[in-house]
Amino acid sequence: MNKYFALCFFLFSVSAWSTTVKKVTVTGLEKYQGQSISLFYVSGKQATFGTAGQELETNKVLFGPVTKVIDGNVLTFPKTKVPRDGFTAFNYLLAVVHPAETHFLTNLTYEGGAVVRVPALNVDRNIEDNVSNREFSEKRFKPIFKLGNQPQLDF
Amino acid sequence: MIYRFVNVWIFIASFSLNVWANDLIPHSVGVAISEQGQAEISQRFANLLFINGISPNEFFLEEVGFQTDEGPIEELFSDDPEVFEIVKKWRGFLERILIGVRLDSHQFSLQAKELEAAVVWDELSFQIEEGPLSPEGLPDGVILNVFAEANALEVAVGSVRGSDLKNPYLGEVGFDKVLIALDQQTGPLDVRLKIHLTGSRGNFEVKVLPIEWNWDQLRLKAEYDRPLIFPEIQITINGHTIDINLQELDAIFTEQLPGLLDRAGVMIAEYVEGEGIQTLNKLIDENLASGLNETNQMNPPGAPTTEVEPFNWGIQVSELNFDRGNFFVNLSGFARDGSRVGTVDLNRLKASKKSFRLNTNDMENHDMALALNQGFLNRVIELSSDRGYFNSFDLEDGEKIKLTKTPVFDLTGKSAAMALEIEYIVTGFEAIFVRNPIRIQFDLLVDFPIDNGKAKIVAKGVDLDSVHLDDRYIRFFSGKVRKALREKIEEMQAGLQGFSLADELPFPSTLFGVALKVGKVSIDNNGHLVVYHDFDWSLFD
Repeated sequence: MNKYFALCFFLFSVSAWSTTVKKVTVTGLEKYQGQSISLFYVSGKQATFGTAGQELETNKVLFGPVTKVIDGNVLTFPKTKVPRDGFTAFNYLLAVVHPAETHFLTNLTYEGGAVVRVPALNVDRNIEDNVSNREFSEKRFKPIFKLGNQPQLDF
Repeated sequence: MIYRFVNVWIFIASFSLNVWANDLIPHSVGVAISEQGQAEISQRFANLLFINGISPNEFFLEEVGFQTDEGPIEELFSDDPEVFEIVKKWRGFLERILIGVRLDSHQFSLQAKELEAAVVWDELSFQIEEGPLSPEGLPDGVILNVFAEANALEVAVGSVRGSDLKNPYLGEVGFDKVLIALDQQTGPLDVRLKIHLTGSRGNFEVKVLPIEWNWDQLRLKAEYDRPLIFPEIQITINGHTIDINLQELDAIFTEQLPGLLDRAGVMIAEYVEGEGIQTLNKLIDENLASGLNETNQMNPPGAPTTEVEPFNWGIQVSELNFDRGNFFVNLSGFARDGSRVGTVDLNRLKASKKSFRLNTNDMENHDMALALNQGFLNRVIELSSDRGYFNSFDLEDGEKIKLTKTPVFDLTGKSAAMALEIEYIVTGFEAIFVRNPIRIQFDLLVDFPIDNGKAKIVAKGVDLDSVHLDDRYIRFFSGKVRKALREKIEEMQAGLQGFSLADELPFPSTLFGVALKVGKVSIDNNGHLVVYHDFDWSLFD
């Protein structure tokens, strides 16, 4: 099969319109009992100069959040199809532990001389943007090509 | 895509320095990427784009559509007055003789669904070179050359439908499962894109120069699911029905297809070479006019745990140039505790007023150099000190040293040193000669050894010539007191040597998401701590 037909096959395959992520396991959640955790499937980038403690900047939320209440040390999130979007690459899983029931995802930015937080692009607008929903305890991110056959995120 | 690529590389603030001035430290961070490092980044360019959120190989849109404004059919030819008049005349004639059709109002729509483009790159790389000479004869910025060669480029569309929204009875024309591809027999697509980056004193411009490519030498080919989607048309004359032969129509369209694709190719070239580049430059100017400032967080040095509120820090590009094969970027920066804008005393922080100086010998053996102005380092330490993280440190022999001032690095002397002031209580008989507690100032000589791939800060000992005790702490016999003090500090030297002040320098550990391995640490006598790194690409392996 030459490259032309191989591409034809690829372009019309059932999964061509989305990327499938197997079920994700998140561990190390014991100390966050009673809080909630939201998993975001995003296009993101790390800081130009990455320092310990940096946040992932979310270019765009492609799917999510999928939110669960933390009631143990380990939680699993179901298999998911993440839609494709233009030239935007789905490249990170982002997990956020937060005290409120829902989380409104934000990015750090610099505006008018101050460091502020702004909504991430394509954030779920069904989630109210308020102080409580913006709060978070901890974030963890992982590039998707490091997920392997048994995707896992550790806190 | 090009805009997103430039966005990744360049952070430009058009804010005047006044907006940042309160706590901005000029020349905070310096970066130099060697020829070796540039070649490595170039080889991994597609990986780098992906890790920063840009898909270099494929593009997908679920649906895209275009609509014309509502109007008579001749409006479609408003650019060509002769054709406009001919169409208008024929429209008038047909409207007079045909019953059951309106030709005075149309609104054409084209909808494409499940549009996907895929490209196989034989090459996707870049090279940096000096910019063109300015009228003063000096290189003006740098040129970023992006090279791309693709031997397979395809666009697949699930369905294409054209219709007239004002005349729905006309139905639709279109195709299903369209595949448009580069005819590989006409050669690979070669593209060279030049981006001119200029900047000094905080003013920056990014300009995409005219594209150089071989598009006019290439041909496209197309396939689609037959038959063509076409309205059902029947003409009845005196009871005799005439139908459209759809298969023949399809065959005619197929015969015309190469010409249509050639015409489409010309239109694409005209757009990309003209309006496309202009639109891109306009988009860059608009988005960069409001400033592109990177802000992020770091764990505070000296914090007892990592679960404390991080510091915010930000950078602003102040200069970039190209020298002896090395690509340089100098950045101003700030560090803050929380959102509060502080003020910085650049003199107290001993901030260097010069950019860092590269050691070309060291640079030859490494991919990049990252330099921190001692002023920026001292600012971060100042913030940690304000939180109480540097109130004291414990020596190995159990002695606790209480710090009474924020430690300050000074890298401009013969040896790197940290200026300290400690509080000490003299005990025993000697206490009567002093006013306890005494405060002693001295320089602690430091080194930055590499341990397990991390650069640490360790003490080498006290610079005994720097030891100072103010007269106000001495009651009697100042000479004897100072001699005893020196002896005491000499006794402490053994406990201080090799003492780890920090397990890791508060230094960036990744660049654009790529891990950095520490190769060598050195001091630049302009007052910068320079760490030479190599890229660690294992993330992508």
